[in-house]
Amino acid sequence: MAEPTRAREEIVRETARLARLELDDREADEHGAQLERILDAFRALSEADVEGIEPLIGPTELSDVLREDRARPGLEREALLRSAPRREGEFFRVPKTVGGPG
Amino acid sequence: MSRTDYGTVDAVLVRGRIVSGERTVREGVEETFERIRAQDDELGCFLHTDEAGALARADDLDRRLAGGEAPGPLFGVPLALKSNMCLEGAVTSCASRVLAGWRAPYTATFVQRLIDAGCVPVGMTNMDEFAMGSSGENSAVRPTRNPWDTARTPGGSSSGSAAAVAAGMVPIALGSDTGGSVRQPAALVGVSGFKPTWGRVSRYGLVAFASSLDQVSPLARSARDLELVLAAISGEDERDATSAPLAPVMPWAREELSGLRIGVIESLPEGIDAGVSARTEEAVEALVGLGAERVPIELPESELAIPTYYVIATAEASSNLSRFDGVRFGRREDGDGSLQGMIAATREAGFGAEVKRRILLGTYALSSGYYDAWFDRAARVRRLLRAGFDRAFERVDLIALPTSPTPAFRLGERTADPVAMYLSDVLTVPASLAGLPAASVPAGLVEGLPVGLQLIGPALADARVLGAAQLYQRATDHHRRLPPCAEGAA
Repeated sequence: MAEPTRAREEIVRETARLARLELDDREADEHGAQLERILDAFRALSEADVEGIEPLIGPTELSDVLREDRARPGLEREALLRSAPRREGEFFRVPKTVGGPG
Repeated sequence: MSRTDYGTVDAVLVRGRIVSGERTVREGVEETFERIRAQDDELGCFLHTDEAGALARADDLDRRLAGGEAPGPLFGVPLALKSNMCLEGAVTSCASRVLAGWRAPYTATFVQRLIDAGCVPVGMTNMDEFAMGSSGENSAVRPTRNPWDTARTPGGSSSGSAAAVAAGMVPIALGSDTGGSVRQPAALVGVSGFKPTWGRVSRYGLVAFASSLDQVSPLARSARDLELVLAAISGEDERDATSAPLAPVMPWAREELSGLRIGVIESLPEGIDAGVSARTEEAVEALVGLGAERVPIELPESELAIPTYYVIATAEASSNLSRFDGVRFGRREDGDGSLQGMIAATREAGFGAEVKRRILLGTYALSSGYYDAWFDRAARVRRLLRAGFDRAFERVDLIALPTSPTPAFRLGERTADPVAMYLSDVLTVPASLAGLPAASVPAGLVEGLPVGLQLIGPALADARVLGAAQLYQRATDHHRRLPPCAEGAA
């Protein structure tokens, strides 16, 4: 399967953006080179014959494990807020999400 | 039993001496902390210890025993926890700057079960950051050193937990095994480690790295102790929907191995040290001596195991680690003051290089345009690899192979090339991908360094794997060998 070809740097920067990682130029360059090396080492995977094989997501066939729809206590709010970097009353405080710098 | 023996005997005996009145829980915990003080500046097994808390708990257990309470199966046994495990109030940093100082607001199910069995948690151990690594060198704090040779790594990512047991600081420790992170360090420091069938142990309270691969995995001197710990921690938990409704693990009832078919892989990957192969062959011979039958097998496509594992694990990790964004817990960097800026700056400052590398690889493998070529393809190969095991287990009852291609390598030896480090896991990732139970037990020394025998069983055959390991340990004494630092340390 042909992969879209783009400059390596562009791919790393776009991937970093998706992952919310702010790489500086040196890091972007280093990570780009390493990713290229790793993907090259993993070449055999891209050449494997998987015709007719379904993906295996997780090693068991468990699915839709449900419990009784009954309310019960969760974790305590105070315990969770205690370890927050910034809080205001009962809330986690963050920079403006709507109408702010973005 | 002399005071200096205490840390190097089995949990079973530790409990026995307390129940018979020979020692108090407090005495055992005091000795644990003496050993930690004597050795840990050099070894770096622990990131945090709680001596006051452990002694308070010890006194409470001593009181309860004196008051006639029936002691649990691990009563009074000091326990070390990997720093990715939640114990309410303890620092669960995952050896990362992004969680430095973060205290867990709740206790993991598997930790609570060990506390209910009578364990005394003494501290949180060092590890590769977010369990990503095979040497302990990715810790944001400092690398753990191998008690057998402090210029070498103890393996990883459960580096501190394995080394703490090897050095005789604690009889048992918990680690997590995603691609070999308990088995490989167990082999490199000469202790026993076990990764259960995936789904056997609840992951509630284990900081997630790769959810379809992670398993809470015990470390101890002996397979008998591993079985005790597994019995305490395993079982369905409604707070982890992937913990399977399985019957409890009953000890394997066999006293010898006649009729047991041991699969020996004909063509193992390249790069296995000759001494490792020799010790493994001797171990298989020991099993044959106990009555087992050797059956040559092949595991086809095993050269795909490393790429398959690293694509799947990093993809899952990229999703699991997205929660570290500076909003709810851990560190926050303000960045340019915007929400997106805060998130990016927090992650940039908080994550180490290997964690960033894996998040990038995983994000790439899942991103539009690359998903089919990488993640989807890896998931299909994963099914192929599992089918290879299924076919092998039609002909054999257990598979025996080395745990690690080499004995412990030197600090700094593999840090320049990520792929070289990834290849440390070549023998352990297959059982992880297939979700199979697998143990590593000490199999002797190569030039003074421990090596491990790995036993893999079919899904749910945890008792068979641990049972065979125990019989092997009755016929051999490699698991009783101590590193120089643990002999006569007072």
